[in-house]
Amino acid sequence: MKGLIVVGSIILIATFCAVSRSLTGYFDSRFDQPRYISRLFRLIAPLFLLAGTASAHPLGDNAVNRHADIEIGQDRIRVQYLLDMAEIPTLFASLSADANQDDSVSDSEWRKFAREQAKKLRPNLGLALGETQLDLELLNSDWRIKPGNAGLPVLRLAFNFSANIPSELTGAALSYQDASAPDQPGWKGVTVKARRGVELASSDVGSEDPTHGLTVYPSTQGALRDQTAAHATWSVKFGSPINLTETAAPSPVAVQLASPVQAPTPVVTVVAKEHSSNPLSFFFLGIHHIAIGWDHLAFLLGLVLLSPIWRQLVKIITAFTVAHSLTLTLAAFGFVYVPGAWVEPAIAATVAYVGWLSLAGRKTAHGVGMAFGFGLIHGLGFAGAFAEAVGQSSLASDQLLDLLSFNVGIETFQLALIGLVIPTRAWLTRYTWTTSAQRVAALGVMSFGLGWFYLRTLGTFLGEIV
Amino acid sequence: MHKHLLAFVFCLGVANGVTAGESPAVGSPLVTRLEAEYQIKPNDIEVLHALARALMQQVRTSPDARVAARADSLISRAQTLAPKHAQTWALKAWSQMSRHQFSAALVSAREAQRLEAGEPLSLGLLADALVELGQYEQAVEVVQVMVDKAPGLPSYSRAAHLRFLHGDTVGAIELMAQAARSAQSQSEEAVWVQMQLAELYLQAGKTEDAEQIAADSLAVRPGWHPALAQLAKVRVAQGRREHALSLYQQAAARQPNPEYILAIWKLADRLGNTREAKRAEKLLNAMALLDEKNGGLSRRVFVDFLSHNPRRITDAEKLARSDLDSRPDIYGEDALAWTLHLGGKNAEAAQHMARALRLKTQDVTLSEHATAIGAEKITLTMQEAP
Repeated sequence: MKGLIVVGSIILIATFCAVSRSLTGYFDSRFDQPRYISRLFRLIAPLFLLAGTASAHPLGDNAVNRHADIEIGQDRIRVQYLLDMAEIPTLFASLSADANQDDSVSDSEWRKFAREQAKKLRPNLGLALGETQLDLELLNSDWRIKPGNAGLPVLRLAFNFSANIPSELTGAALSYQDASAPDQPGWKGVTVKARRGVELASSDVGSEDPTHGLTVYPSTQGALRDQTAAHATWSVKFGSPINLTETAAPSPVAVQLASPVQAPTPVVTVVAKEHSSNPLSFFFLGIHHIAIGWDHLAFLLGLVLLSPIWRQLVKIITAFTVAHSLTLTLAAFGFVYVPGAWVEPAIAATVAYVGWLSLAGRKTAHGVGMAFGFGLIHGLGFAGAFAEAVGQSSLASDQLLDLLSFNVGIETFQLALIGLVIPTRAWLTRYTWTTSAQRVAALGVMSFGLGWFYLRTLGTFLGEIV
Repeated sequence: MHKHLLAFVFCLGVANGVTAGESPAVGSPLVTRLEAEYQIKPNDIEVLHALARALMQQVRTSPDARVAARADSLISRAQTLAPKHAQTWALKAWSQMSRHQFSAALVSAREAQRLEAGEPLSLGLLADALVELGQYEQAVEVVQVMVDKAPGLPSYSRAAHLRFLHGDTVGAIELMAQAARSAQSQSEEAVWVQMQLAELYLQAGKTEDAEQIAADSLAVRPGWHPALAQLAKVRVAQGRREHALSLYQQAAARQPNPEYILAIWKLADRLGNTREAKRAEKLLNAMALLDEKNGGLSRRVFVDFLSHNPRRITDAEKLARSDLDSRPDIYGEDALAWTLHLGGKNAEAAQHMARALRLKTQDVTLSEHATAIGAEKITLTMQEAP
């Protein structure tokens, strides 16, 4: 079997190389590129194919893995619920989702299916403050199809629920229980995090998801009971610790807990505290985010390559900056919401596009408008990073300074980078190989953009890492 | 119905029975206790073996792949810590049997026996591997040793299965009932042996007895999918197909085994429920791809499925030949014979059917296939059959 996989992979790579050879041949004739660009393209192209190779589902073809990430804020609790279905449950799901029975599931059918699943799930999620059950409101649902084992798809669903904390219940014990599909095999996990302004004193579960959003699973070297965390009852108390015990609900795997009381008595305490602003730390956070944001950097490089005239370049960069600042602010304050599953591939597409523009020698025909449009998309990406940093999906009004600091950090690094690149580029123009080098750089930007796009739409494990 | 699956189900069922008396029932704290003990004494090979055994017991009842993966990781560790220990090799054989690696399991079980002659777990697995590989004479010898040395559920249940394979259905029922009596009441082993007994009753045409056992099992374990499927088989035999379909649907909802989906497909098609049949067909097509990726654990189900489609009969034949190569038992011979017959290759079909009938097994499906292929040809070729 492994031999077949190797042979199959070689055939696929050979096919892809042949396609890339045709493409580079086209580019060669169209743009008179040096041959080494063709070779470079042929070298990197198969990497995209390998990166996207599907692998077997880690917990069996029949598993449905679930993870609930609970974020406790000052005035609301958010539950982000992920469902990762293996091949067989996905098959059943696709049969249910195919409403018009045309043997294919359209995007709108998946969307409807995701909403229905969220509605079915909601009554099974018990969230309470003290004795008072909270009403979880479905904010949004998202879906994604990825390649699985044997050429079959696997389905991932993501739901965001939210519940307001009544002021009289601030500080009351919080309990959470997932009663959905108790007999269904698969990983079940719960994490609890505190949003800004809230302190989580203790918890019987961690704040870090060991599966990284149901993409990487802990090995079976450890005891199985360590991997099953669903069906636990939580207690959260604002102000002082309180006890929490697991329910006697059956474990989702065959390994049954001998007696639930053997587990150490877990405690979760949440203490509300005043928000304190720290602009300097957000300034550095902005710098850090763009410094490690390779897709944003690649996009910037693509923009710089577009025009040799620095004044025109300043206009482009300014348009990009204004646009991303705009969407960053709107998204951070909750006026705009676009799922990350859409934003990230879109950012990758913008990178590929500017790379292609530079490679094709289109220069800045529609540079300013394009930079503004694409800046809007990148701003949504920055907003996602900012939300992760503050642990909140939307900001309170007193956090405007933090947001501004974050954005200034981004702009500072961006300007510093451009300030370095433009003179370097001007200095390099004296050499005859500069044009070729720019095309190599443009090809690199385009290739990375395409690669990221592929991984963020179709990629599996490696795609999750990227 | 689907008697070719009996051997596998039986094999796992009775392999479990080898450790009767010390095995954990579903929901027992044994695994948890052993896990805790293993954390304290990670290099204690006895604890490691005990934990791996307890997990292997649960592989069959749990659809969670992590249980098997955890057991495998422990068995691998045992091979590092105690490569000369008979239990290590027995556990390895058990894991290989559960993955249908019968030849490899035979080697491992023999190695365990070489290290410790008469070791009960590996002795039972040796017999199971021999049965799956069609080496019935040697299997009988091994099981006879088991019965002589340690009469009880593991040896009786295996002996009953061999009696059935050799055409003695009445004797098989008698021995299987004895095995059931020797099991702890309502234990996991007891319920599994009861399922085997129900299957034997069904083969003997005693549908009421089979129904009673399935109903009793469901009373003890409501919604237990093997019992639901067993009751569904009874309903098919009684001609109550609507109810059988409903029972198979319930079983498949709990555990989407390909054999349940195949039964649903056949029943829905027979009842004119085209929507359900089409749904099941889609599932089977996809499951067939997955099964091959996973080593072809349910290959015979897909041979059966593909052979119903005249356009895919060549695929079915190819799959049946591949299955017979790795699992040359009488049911493998039957599956290939039937596929060849449907493909119009009656001469070769008759030869394989003769091999399938060489033990004179009184199996309903085998008899139906033999009749369809042609008794005359079979009688002629049986004399040439090994």
